[in-house]
Amino acid sequence: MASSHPVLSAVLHRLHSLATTFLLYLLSLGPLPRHVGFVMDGNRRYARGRGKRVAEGHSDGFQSLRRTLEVCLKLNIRAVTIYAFAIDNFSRSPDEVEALMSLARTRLLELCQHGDLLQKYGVKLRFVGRVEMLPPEVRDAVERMEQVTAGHKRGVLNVACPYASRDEIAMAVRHTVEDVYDGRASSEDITSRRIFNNLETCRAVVSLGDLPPDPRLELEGGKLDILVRTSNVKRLSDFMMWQASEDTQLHFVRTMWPEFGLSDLLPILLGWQQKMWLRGIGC
Amino acid sequence: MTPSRGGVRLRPRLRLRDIPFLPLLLLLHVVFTLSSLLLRLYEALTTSSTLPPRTFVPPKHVALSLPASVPVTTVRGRSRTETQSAAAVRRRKELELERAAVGSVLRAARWAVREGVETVSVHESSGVLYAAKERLRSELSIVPPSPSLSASTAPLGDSDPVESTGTQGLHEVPGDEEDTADGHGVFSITVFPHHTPTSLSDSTDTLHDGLRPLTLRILPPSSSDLVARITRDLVREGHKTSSITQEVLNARIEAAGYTPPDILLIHPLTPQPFWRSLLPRPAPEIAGYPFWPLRVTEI
Repeated sequence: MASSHPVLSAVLHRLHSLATTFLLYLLSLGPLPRHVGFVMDGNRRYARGRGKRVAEGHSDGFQSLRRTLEVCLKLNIRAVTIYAFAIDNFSRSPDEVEALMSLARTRLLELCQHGDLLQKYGVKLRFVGRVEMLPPEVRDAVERMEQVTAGHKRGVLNVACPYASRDEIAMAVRHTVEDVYDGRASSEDITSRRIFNNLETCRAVVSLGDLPPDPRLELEGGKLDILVRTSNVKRLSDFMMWQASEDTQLHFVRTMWPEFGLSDLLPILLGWQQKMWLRGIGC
Repeated sequence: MTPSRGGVRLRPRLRLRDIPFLPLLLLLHVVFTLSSLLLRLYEALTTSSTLPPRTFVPPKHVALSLPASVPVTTVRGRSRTETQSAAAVRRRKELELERAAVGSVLRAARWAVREGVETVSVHESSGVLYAAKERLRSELSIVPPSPSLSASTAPLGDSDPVESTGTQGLHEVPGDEEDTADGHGVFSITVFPHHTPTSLSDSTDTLHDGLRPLTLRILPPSSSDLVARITRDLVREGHKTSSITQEVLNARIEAAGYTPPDILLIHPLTPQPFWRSLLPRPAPEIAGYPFWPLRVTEI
């Protein structure tokens, strides 16, 4: 009997994997979002609730990221943006900041390597935000990750780190003003659309090349279709505020990020499909 | 060629072998809808609707986003080929929306005064509320002291403690108008509550001591252009790019009347059709409320 447990376990895992694959296949028959954003909140509370160290909470959070990313990639959701580290987070304890930097340096690099997720699905990795604020060894790792995945065109994973939406908007305004001062545009060309397209996350998404603009909203491909924030916090917290300001569905879920998975994502995607179908019939 | 919206195909590219599985996707949605209904029923039966305690500290600034339940394009806007009957239907829908919007804001203002909220900012994406801002101002100025518009008619002594201390009215005073020259700015009204004592006036009631004037701000529908307007101003004033920081943008945006609210309430302006309410409740959308001040706002 003891020897049947590994067999039973393997069979159950296989069945679970088949069921998940079939479920994802069914979902893919309906409309799917183009750009989803995740605020991965709750790693620390999750760790404290289980008597773990905060660093372990972040590590478990990375596993959740991998799981969620794989679901999104299997569904061919072209752009995923994750809020990995806020500019304000540098004020956290040095140990925690070091743990997060270490995760960014090592675990994200794993994703980019041969045979792993990003390569398997042809997804480019882009760090958006004030990369110059990162420690040198992390900056080197970022450069390597971006180089390794530069040729991938099927999707993009934007890692917002260290990031703040207001800072991103200010940067886009500066680029727009530079365009005017350098003669590449006139004052009349300063429109919401132009500044929006200068947002770093938007440029990363549009760089995939085949995402057409959204004429109804006069915005380009960087607009978020769905924003998910875990751990029951109902704030944007300076994450992609402009990109989420129109008809982005906001999902503030109770689950802590390390526990987030397909069972949480499924109702979100089903809800989005219903929204698209209803919109298609004019409701 | 599958129809698309902004690059998202409403119908994905289906192959012949996918078609037999479509009923299973439909079944998945039926299960999702039914489970959502059961969950809402359970929540409705088990959640008690208690008023917050009177020690409740209200937020200082409440923002309201009032998206229309019907798509905006079916209400506003005129087509060249519009017939007379279609125009009449459109105008009727606009009037209904306007009535709903103005009524919502008046109720929100009464509630805010009662609860001690200092500022209410309201955004309505189709523009009917902003277009009716003068009507709103005149409605506020003629609203007599009256009881709550609540439908409840509880007997004296059992009514809401706020109402039992007498009546409240709203008296509008033209406040600072932050309209820009092109008339697309924040429209601000300062509302002063006043109290008419009655024989039920309760000297132990402390609520009237705390009644404050309310600043009611009607935000223009197209607030997404705000950043672009500020950018054009910065270019016109010849600012160096290095001096353009988020603090500079923030100062200008707040000066234009877009201060950060403590909480943003998203509420459809008009009720949904019954059949629509049976489907899972849609996730909230900001629907064009100015994004810059929402950095740490509870939604």
